[in-house]
Amino acid sequence: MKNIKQKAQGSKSKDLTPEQSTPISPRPEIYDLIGKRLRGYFDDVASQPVPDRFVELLKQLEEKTPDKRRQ
Amino acid sequence: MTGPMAGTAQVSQRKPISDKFREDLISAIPGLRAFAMSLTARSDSADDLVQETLMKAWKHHDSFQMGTNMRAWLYTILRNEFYTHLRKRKREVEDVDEQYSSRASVVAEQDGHLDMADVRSALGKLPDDQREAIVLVGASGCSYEEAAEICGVAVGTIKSRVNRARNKLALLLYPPEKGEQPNAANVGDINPKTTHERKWE
Repeated sequence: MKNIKQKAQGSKSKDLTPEQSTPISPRPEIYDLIGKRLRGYFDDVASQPVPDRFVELLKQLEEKTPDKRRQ
Repeated sequence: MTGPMAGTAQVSQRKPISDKFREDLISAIPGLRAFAMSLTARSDSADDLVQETLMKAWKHHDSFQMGTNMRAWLYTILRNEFYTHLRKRKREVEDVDEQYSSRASVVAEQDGHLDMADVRSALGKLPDDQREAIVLVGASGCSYEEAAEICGVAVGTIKSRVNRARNKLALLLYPPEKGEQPNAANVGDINPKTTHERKWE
């Protein structure tokens, strides 16, 4: 009887055996959400246009490098 | 010597900088900014960190072997710069925490990116070693092996740091509701052999 109750509570997590479902009671969807939000945060910055200061910096570095091949 | 910084000592033998190196460096900038922004979750110096990384990379271009993993090489440089400056800052300022917390809320109101601000603030609450592990593996798309190389630790160490980091993030971003039993997601450490681990592999 107890087992049935536990199984019902843990029914969202399909892979779990009854003895795993109660003590661990994991919410795998939380980990998925965190993963999505972290990637979202990272990709949000990574998709911004490159600020001018870096274009300028590379130009300056190139000018200071006399052995740069000209092609 | 192995690792992305192998050969840093032999900069005296100058090689011309190839167009390929330059192009790869430019295309790495967006990822470097994202990595810097995630690492410096507690400050706003991300672009300065990227600038220093680019200058170092340019100066030590000889130590990069074309055809190898430029992203890992650049991330390693950026990470080293980050910790060098972090140590300096820690000596200079002790009450930074207060500054950061007040600034975080201002940023959130300004750009309306509430979710971004939440993620950033949660990242800022992680210990440095856990933050870099979760950012590399969980956000930047590095493999555990790449992350281990970048951080100079064993793969198993990265795995356990990632586990601890995401459990802390779960607690910070999804705190248990009143009356809810604390569970694996919001109890700190959990057994690494749980069903969640494979989601990050």
